[in-house]
Amino acid sequence: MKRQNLTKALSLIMAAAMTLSLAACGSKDSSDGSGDGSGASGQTTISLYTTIPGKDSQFEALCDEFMEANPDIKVDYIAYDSSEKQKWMTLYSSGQAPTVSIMDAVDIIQNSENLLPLDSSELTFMNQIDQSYVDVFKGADGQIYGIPNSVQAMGILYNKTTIEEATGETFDPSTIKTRDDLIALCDKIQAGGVAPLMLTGVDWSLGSHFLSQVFTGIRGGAEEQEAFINSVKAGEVDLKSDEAWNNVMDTFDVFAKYNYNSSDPLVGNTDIDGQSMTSGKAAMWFMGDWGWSYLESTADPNDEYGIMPVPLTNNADDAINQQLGVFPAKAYCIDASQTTEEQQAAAKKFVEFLCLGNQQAMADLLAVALPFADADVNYTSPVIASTQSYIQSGNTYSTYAFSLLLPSDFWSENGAVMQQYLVGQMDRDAAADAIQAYWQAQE
Amino acid sequence: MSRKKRKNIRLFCEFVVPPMLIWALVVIIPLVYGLYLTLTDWNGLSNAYNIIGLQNYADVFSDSTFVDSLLKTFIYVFFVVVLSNVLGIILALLLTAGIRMQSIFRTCFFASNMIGGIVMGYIWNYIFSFAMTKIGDLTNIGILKTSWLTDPVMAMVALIVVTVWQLSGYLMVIYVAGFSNIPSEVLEAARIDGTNSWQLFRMIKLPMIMSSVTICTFMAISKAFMSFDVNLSLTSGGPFKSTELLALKIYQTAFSNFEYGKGQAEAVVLFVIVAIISIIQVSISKRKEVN
Repeated sequence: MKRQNLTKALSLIMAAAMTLSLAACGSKDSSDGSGDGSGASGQTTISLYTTIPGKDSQFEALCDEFMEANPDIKVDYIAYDSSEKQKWMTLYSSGQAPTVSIMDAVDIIQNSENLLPLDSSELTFMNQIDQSYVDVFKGADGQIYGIPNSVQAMGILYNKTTIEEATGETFDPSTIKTRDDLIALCDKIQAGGVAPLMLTGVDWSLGSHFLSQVFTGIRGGAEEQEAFINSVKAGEVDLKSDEAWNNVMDTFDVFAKYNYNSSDPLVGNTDIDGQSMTSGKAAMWFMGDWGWSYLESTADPNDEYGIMPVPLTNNADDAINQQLGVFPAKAYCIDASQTTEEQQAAAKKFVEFLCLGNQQAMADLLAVALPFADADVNYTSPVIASTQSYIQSGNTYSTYAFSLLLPSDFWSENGAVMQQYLVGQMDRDAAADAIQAYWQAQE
Repeated sequence: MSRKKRKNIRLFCEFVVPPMLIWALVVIIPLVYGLYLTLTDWNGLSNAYNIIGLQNYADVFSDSTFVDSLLKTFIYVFFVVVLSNVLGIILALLLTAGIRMQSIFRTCFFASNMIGGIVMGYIWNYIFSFAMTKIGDLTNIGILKTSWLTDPVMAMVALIVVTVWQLSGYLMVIYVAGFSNIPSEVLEAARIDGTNSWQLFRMIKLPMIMSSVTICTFMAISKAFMSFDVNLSLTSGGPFKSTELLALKIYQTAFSNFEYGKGQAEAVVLFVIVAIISIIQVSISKRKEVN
């Protein structure tokens, strides 16, 4: 009997020891992680998570620079993870939410209940950013949850040198005011033995970027865009007979016709396509100013590159044909659900540093334009310089719907539709019906 | 209580309870919690969620893209399991026949298995999209002229080819072990009785390696059903979602569409299917094993 009790006691002790040691692991984790964030030396510990690939060392250098200037704050840099959003969700679920994150607009809005509302009366540097960019990060409650870290433009990347060599004429992108102008240019380039246009047949480029033009600037400002999408959702609009839809798709047909990749349109590889552009096999590419990163390593330094708007209609008076679609892709956001007030204050300081502290380093790191009107930086990319000239002359249109109203699976679902249309497995009406059905299935 | 019994209890507490606890912590609790999440409308980030009963399961089965993806997965699994095992057995037969440098060949065939799925997918992506099309241009062979990855049927073929290429080397090793364990007396006796090579394989070798077949088929089935990394890096489910297998579909639902509950419900359905098929397969092939 005595022995039996001993066994019982022993097993209880064993079980308790196991549980305790496991619990100890758990509590150790939480104090090391976000916890209360104040270290023994009175330092406030915050963390930074980014979704920008391949820039870990540059971000760490910026963190070091910040910590040197602010010895009372320690920044833990969380290394880039290719699962981006999934990793972010994991960090949140495991109680390790990053204090500062750089995320896409949809992700920030989805997670706004966990984030800190950002007030431009407190963070005055926000006033240097165009309000339309900031509005993209406005939650349902009207508060701002993200500070844009960059602006990007989608449009036609062109190799001016290739075009001029093929046509024998000087090329001025501002002369392309209609779809017919683009066709005429393409014919001339083709006669010179160069493929005029290029589409990368991946779902994100076709389904998210090209197709989004049906829902953005061509409709007008943010309100008109929202109203149009609501009417599509409600089934009040028949996309098939919609003028803007047909205009955008007419332009898409021009791209498909003169496409460098037309023999196998869905081979989507941005690196190989970039090389086709730099080697002079293709003259123009539907992409965005971030596309310079695909060109940079192989571009001939004597070639001139730039970005120009996609002519979406055939009317030279339509301003949209001369305007570039510009959007803030990613933004800084600060966690409010797992952080203390000290950490939030430190995070605000840190975000301000990331925005203003070393703008040249940030511009080099991001390789896209900063959203600050008076940013004093030199962009190494000629394409970004080109974007900047459109921004400065005000020739940009609102891409509010692209940044905020397109659901997060829009690119994959409708990218598949656009791919089928591109290879002729679906006609335009069927594509319109599929896209309309997608919208109507949204709640 | 006898001394022996008490000793058994003590041993049980010392050696079985701790691993059981760890197992419960890393397997059972997540499983139960995962099942619970299928009853919610959690988006993966939010602090609050609602219990919505079996709505997610109803959504899963009424979602035509899920059923579509399930069918594609069955086709993929069927070909992968059959081809990788057949190829594995053929390789193992060749490499136990006593040919020169057979251990080097074994290493070479196994090497494909050492490359991570994501990296391998990218390598093959280049091979299908750029290397093969170059060969097609030079030789004028129609099937090589365009990338396999841009045609829905050929993309599925490509996915199967790459998985079989990777898996068969691994299965080969298990089959090699199986063939090596057949007693040489048995083979010698069969030869004296006048069997030809096919009879020797069909009547002697194959029945003797049935336990390897059980293991390999089980491994191939479970690996093929859970296939994710190659699918993601080779085709990303494209062109136009024609190669979106279940595991990738689950990932998209949970993490791209912010429908964590529904994604989890899809995962439970996949789990049940794999469990049922594996149990059936193991029980059938176990019966054919020779002791």
